[in-house]
Amino acid sequence: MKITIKTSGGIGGFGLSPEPTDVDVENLPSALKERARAAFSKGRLKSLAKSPGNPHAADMINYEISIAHDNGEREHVDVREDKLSDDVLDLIDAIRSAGR
Amino acid sequence: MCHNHHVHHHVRNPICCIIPPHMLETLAMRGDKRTRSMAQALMKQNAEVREERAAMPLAPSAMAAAAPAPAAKRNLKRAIHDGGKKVGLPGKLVRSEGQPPTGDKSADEAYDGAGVVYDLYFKEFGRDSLDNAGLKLVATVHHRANYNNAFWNGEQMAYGDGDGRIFRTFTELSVVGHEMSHGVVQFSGGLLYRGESGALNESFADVFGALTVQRKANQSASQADWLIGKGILGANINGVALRNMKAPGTAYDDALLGKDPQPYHMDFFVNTTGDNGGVHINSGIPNHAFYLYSQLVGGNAWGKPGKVWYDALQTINNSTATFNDWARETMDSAVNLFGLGAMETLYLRRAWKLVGISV
Repeated sequence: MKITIKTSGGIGGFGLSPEPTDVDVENLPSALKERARAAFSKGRLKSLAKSPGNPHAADMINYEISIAHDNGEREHVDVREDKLSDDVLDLIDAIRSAGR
Repeated sequence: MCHNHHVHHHVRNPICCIIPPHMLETLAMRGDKRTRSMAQALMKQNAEVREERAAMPLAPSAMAAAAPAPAAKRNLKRAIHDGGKKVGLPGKLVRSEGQPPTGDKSADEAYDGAGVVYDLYFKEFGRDSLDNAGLKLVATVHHRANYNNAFWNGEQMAYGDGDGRIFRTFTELSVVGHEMSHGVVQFSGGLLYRGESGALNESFADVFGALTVQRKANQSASQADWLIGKGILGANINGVALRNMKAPGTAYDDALLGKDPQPYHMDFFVNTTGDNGGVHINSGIPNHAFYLYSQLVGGNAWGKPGKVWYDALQTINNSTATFNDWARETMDSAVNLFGLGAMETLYLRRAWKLVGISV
């Protein structure tokens, strides 16, 4: 499984970084690998957004998450950070950190 | 602001005031014959009232009526939390109102900055906190690890620490003023965070972020640098700030970040689906209009120009306002405050014209 995370928005308008994060899940530490495989398994991406978010929020980061599954299938979601659970955001932070 | 000129200049016409101009225009365009006729009559009446009111010399009582009612008493309540580099908000409370400094630079800057922003709104515009009802100012510092952002989430401010490479801090005063001003926009009726209304939301936050800094430093419009987020970029980033209201498009030009994409004129308006339709990009146009207006008026930008912008936000009543809608609303504010033929009103028309918006 390969994960690509792009960000946009935020106070600067260019996300957390103009550079996308590309990681091969197989190269992640084992605990993180298991979390990533569970969170981004096939069909789960579209249901990552757990909250409607606040319509008055401003300067939020937008995440574009693309998954290339081992069987070649691809999934993609575009979601604002306040719609994601704390657990998913923590996982994204850990993956982005590992992908540097 | 509408007055029934058939009765008395200081008696509001509730029908006229309830229906905002953009809605009247829509009704005049799309309504049935009877509705179109009603809308056109109200629009005509609005125009007549505006002309008649503008032609009258402003009596002291009229000046007082145009000024916002001052809040009764200073009612500042701050609560600064430490997010511990985690996602959860608000985190651990580290400093409440009246408590001494924590020694944590970010926490103390967020606390002090919130006080400076509160005082700008309270002392200059008579507003008691973000909701004008004493809302507690809640902020979280050290939000998430290496987090390159600060935001308003509809209830509180959150400031990351930056990753040290692209950003090094987010508790700089203009950023604090920017985020808190998103709260003021929200509690003033809101501006939808997409496209032109989103760019106006961003611009209002930038304008009042800049005014926060200028008022604290007691800088006139001509003395100020008009930078938003001055000094928050990483040491190796080729740039001075996030945005430059004086010269939009020149805040940074860097190998990693690219070039500051902000336009200063409608000719260079950026059509994009990214960044919620370019809310942080096209905000450069109204930002520059405010800068130009402040330069033309002279003196302190938080004085007359700030009042025009603040009053326009209180009266616009249109969450999907375009740049043209906003420009017209600021003109109405200027006319209300200074009169149609006043230099302050003529300068405002000129400032909008200079960024490509005719009002």
